[in-house]
Amino acid sequence: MSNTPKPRQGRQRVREKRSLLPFYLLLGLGGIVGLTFVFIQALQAPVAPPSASIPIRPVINAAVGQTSEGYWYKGDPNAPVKVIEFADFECPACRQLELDLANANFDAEYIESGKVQWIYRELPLRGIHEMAQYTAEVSRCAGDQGVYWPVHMALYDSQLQWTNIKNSQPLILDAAVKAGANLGMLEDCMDAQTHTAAINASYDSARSLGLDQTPTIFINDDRINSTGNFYSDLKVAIDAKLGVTP
Amino acid sequence: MDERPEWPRMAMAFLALGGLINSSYLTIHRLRPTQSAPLVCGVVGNCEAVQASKYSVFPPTNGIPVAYIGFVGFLLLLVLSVLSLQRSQIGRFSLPMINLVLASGGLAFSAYLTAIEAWVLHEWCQWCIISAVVAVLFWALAGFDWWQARRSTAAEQLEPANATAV
Repeated sequence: MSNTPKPRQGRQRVREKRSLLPFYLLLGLGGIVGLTFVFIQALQAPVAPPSASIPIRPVINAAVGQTSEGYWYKGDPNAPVKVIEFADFECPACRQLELDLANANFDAEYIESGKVQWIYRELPLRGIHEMAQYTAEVSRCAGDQGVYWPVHMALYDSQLQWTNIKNSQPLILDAAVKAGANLGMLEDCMDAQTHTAAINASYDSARSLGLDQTPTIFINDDRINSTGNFYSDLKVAIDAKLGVTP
Repeated sequence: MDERPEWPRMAMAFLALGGLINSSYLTIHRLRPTQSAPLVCGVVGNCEAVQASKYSVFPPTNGIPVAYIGFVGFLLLLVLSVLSLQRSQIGRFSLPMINLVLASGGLAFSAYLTAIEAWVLHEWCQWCIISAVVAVLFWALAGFDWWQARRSTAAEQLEPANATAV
């Protein structure tokens, strides 16, 4: 190697090229690793079956009614296990739970057999779900006509059709009518805001308990802290209360 | 000769890459809705809720998904950051200036989305927060780089004047 100093500009150009190469390599490596990770993560999640629908049971062969506070329940009030669900008709996670319950034939196995009383308390997350309050009120209006539970199931079943779209009220009312509600009576009930105060009170009551997510489930006053599938955790907890070993 | 430090532009490229990876995650979720049937609705860090809201598209309700806007924006910033390590102009425009203008746009958009999360949805999505932090840091670096470039241009313009004075 010669010791003769090279012209300044040439030396600088060599230094710049050398200094940028590790940067390009590192940037490229970061991009490849990051994007591969993202693709693997995203592609691992199963695609939702779009047709997964919730069958609507027109009749529940068990006690059905309202608690002294006005919340709808199904199942014997003296059942050994009391489940309280705080939920929102527009919440996808609540719909998933409703679907899992239907697929597992939960009503026949636990409600109609007298093992469980299920109480539904409305917690409409109005900040993120535009129709949460409206659907909760529709369900109560349907309750006035004696078709609370079929409409309850129909609202969850049709959630994918009316959530996040404009002018969704007719679709919601249509789902309720298909489940057995009378449209005229439903509209009168909604126009008169018959249950607005009750749903507001239900919301306030849930918030005053410190609840801020749906579904939130209590079994005999113990809160279920689900980390995976809500339904399987719920079933395990109910079976434990019933003294059933899996 | 442009003698401003390279590290801000290198850091900008890495930040833009981070933002790109982050937004590509949300973009894939948007393109391919999965059964990531959210575990719950309404909890803090509830991306599903934020993504499901009408503000997940811009303009709200009937616009382009913000995930796509983020993807394209960060891709552009990445390309421009790498390019600014090799040249300082695109046509008549100075690259540090282009970077700063785009970064300011990104910062304003992030501020809008963060405000929606804070005051309208009352929900936070960790991916959106990452994106906002990247936007702030990128803007700060782009501002620094632009200032450095301006200083070095001013110095270059002064040099001939000094030479004649001496």
